[in-house]
Amino acid sequence: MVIVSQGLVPRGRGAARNIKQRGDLFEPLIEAAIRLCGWSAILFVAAIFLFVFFEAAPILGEIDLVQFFTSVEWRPEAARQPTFGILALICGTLSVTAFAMVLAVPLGLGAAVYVSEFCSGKLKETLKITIELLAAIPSVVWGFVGYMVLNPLIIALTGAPIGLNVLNGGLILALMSVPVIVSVGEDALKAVPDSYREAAVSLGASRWEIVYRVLFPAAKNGLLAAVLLGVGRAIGETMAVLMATGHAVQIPHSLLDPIRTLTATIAAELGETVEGGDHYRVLFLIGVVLFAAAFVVNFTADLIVKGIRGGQHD
Amino acid sequence: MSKSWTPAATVLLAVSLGGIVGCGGGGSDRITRVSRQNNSGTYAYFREALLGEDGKFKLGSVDQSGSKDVVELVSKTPSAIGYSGMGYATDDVKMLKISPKKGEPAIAPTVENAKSGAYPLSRPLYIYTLGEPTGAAKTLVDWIVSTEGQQIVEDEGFVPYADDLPEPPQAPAPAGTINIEGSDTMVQIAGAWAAAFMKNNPEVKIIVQGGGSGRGIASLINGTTDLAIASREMEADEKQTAAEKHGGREVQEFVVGKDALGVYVHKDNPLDEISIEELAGIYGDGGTIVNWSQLTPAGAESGSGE
Repeated sequence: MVIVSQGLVPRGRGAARNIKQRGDLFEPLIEAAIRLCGWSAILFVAAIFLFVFFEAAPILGEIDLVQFFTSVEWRPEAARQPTFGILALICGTLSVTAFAMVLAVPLGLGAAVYVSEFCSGKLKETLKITIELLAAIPSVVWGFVGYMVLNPLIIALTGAPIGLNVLNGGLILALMSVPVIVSVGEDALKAVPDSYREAAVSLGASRWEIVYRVLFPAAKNGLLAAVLLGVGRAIGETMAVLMATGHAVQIPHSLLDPIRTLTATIAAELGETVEGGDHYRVLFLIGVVLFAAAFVVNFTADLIVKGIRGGQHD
Repeated sequence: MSKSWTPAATVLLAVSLGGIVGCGGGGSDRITRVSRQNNSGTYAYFREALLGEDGKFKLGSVDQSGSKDVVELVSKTPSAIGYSGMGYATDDVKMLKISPKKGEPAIAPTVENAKSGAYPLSRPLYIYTLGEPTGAAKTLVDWIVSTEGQQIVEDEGFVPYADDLPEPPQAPAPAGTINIEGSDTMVQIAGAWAAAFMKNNPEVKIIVQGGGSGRGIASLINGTTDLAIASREMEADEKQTAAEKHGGREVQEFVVGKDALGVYVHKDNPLDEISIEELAGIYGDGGTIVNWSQLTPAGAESGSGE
């Protein structure tokens, strides 16, 4: 067979040599560039972690770590003896994240099921775009919504003394986590083969029964990964919770108590510390704690997602 | 397995709703303390005025990062009490009269009472520099402490630091850039100073940043700002750290105004005055005043609230 097109494939006896020469220069260069891009992600993560860790390291010898994790007395600017206890801050982060997940998981999974199973065509496309838009809203705008709109609303509806609290922050975080859960959840549901659905229909299952009895168990790893990624998003969120939770150092006893998160503490206080001082280093230590938490959550989610990609047609 | 999800989910939902409805904050009788971030000069001054040098605030106050934010939050929250510079008053909030001790007459936060020092929470406002200011910065500081600079302090709702003020410098300032950073209480005054000064001295560029007195002082120590504006005095060890870091240059302190720190409540709040002791009972660690009903109305003689 003769290849007719001009210029695409060099013809003649020198042809093979020409291709090989071009390949010699071009291919390895491109490969090296792509490899660098891939490795750079690891390099950046490692560099950031090392930076945060080395800024925090000097204080590890001086601080009582037990007191650090179990005391609520966050008084870095105390006149005589500053105390650095982050228990109230940890409770703040956990409470607002937990409440956000209570709201976001049913909402997100429900939306994922709806988009994946129950709607089609234009509505499906519109919904997907709108949910992505929800993710594109800057977090400071969410914080503003919480501060200006939800604050008076919560006071009016619940009679709380103040509307900047776990409820407010949790609502905002839920709305920010939903797009993450929907995207990954929808992928997980799409990955379930149609044969499962067809088999269920042939056995007489209703639409809800297909979702509840067949799809959820089949896609549970992917859905769990979606939830964990939503959790990772919520833990790391800073601006929105800074504005919407009231920024109060205390352990919450109800959803209507204002709290402060680890992230908001760093954001509010790092700029005013003296470089190299104790307060500065403790804030970086909080950064290490957050880094560790986010890493664990994302790593777990990643392992689980690999689990479903590795094939689980059992 | 799927069957056991439903009761678990129902319980979780019920608990969350119960949390919202049930122990919901004690209603609006609960006092919501609004405070500043912990590096703020206003925060430090208020703590010392109420609780003494070793005093500690009760944790759990709603901490705002700016003077204006405190007033705005109080104006939107009927159960709130907060403290901020007198220049930030708006029509939606009320400034309480303060009595030094319960039973003594309460003084209103006015310009006259701040000047005379009769108002219990009057405080000086400071500018700090590393060593004697030179060049454009020196002209600026000389102008700020003069009649013109102090007129701007008064226009912004604060109080000039003295009655007898020097004349403004006559010679125009040399060219240069001046960085001003620090107190959020003073940031609006500083902005007005910068605008007026730059108008008369177009060769000078002034950049003003807020962030809190602590931030300004930290930047002065780090060497990243020329003038630190502060609503609290710089501590001795801070001045020492600055001198050590910059080859022995002593920090210079200038008093550039006075503030009557206002205690703000929502405009519908029936309270008109409060004593320093009661404020300490509200804000201090170990203080026992948590509800508005514990504060006796003005003029009552029963010494309750403990």
